[in-house]
Amino acid sequence: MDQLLDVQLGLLRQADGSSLFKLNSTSVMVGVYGPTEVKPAKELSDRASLEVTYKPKVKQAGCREKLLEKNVQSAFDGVVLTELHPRTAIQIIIQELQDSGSLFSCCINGVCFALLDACVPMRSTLAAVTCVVDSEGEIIIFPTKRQEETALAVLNVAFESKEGAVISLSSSGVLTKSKFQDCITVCKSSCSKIFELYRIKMRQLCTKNAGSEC
Amino acid sequence: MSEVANIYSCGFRITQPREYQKKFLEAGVRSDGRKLDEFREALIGIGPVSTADGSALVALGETKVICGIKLEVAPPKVDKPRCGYIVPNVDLPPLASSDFRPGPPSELAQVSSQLMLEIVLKSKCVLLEDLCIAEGRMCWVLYCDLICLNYDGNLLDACTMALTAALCNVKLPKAFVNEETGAIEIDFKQKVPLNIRSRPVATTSSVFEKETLYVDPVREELKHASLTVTVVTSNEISGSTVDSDNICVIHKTGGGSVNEEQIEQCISNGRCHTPFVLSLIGSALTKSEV
Repeated sequence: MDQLLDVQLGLLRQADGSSLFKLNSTSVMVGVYGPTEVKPAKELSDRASLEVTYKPKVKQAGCREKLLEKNVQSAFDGVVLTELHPRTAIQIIIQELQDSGSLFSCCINGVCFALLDACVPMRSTLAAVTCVVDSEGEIIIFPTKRQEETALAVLNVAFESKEGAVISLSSSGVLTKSKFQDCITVCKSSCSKIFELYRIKMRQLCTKNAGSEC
Repeated sequence: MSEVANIYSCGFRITQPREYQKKFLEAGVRSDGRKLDEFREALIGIGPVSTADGSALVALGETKVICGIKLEVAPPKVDKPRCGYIVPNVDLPPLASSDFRPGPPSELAQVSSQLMLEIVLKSKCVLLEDLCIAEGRMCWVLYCDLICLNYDGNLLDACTMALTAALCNVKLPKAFVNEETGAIEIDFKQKVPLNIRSRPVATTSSVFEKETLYVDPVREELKHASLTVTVVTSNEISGSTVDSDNICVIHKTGGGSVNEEQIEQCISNGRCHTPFVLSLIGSALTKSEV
């Protein structure tokens, strides 16, 4: 896999956790605040409520952005240990810096890094992969914007690290069942690089922190 | 004796709703007596709104959705001069359920609207190029309003059914460019049915506590479901045959994890249910033409 993956943690000083995640040319900045005070309307008595806001670079957020927010919130609802912080809110703000394709996977991976930086308890990490099936039937991982627009189908999947189960799944475009299953298999095998990146970055962060205290 | 049991079960249902659902699902049935793979009765009525250019009313058990389509003309987008617009909008009024509050569209409404747009475009139900009147000058806009009249779960299936049926009901007035004057003329007396190339059908399945997978969830079941998966089959129409092998949209919501067997099960639920819904839509359309 010749994709360019890069992440920087802790760039935003005010946020409890933040990450700048780059995937090829697409990059997002994520800030996490939490657990923090929650509006009474959104308060849940037994767990924390995850509030995701996605800010596009141009124009105002519309229904398309709302769907992305909902997908991110659903994914992390299953992974963050919300039962540990009832009647609080964990706010996740995603700012699009550049969208050159594979935006969903960039957001999920960026949010996971920011949650790790904020020390929000999670039961596993998430790795998201976007793949497309082009007009020749080939499966391409982490497509560019142009590839996404001309593709027959776009598939966004997020896997969790413990059992490799699917946490988030959204596909749009006509696919046969066998092609769909091939896509899932290809996506699953591409996750390992992202899970590896989590371990590398966390090790760097912890050694850096330990070093600064000495 | 049965009255006493009834009182206890009603109390149990209100005080311990999750346990109540669990008792049924673990025994392989649902609280309304259905099997795990059984759907609620669906009814479709075509053309209930006479002022709309196309309409359909769908009742999926207690969930009722009405779809009305209005046509307008507008200049096309600059970067897509040969395409028209489809603007679906899902409205969840407080009338439908106590879950919906008055005010701006809720998250569920916005997400459903966006999914309706994706379903219509990705299934190629209506090609935007078919909505072009004059390239770069004028095109049709289909405003599709889906209003939920009563919400009892499984909104996406009902909305997709209503939208598909309403689109099949739309007739476009004949529009042509006058060769002499170059002006665009629309003849409202001559109407041509909209070219429907496929009929998308959605099937929603839910999973309770990682193990139990069931279809067509009701509102009570959705509150305790760990996830729901909606599979939409595209069903392209070619001649008189309908190809129901392809899936055009899959959407999973909810935080629970799902393994590959369960995803396969959801897809096969969708494919098994599709012919039934297509025949329902077909018979409703033939009845309306009579």
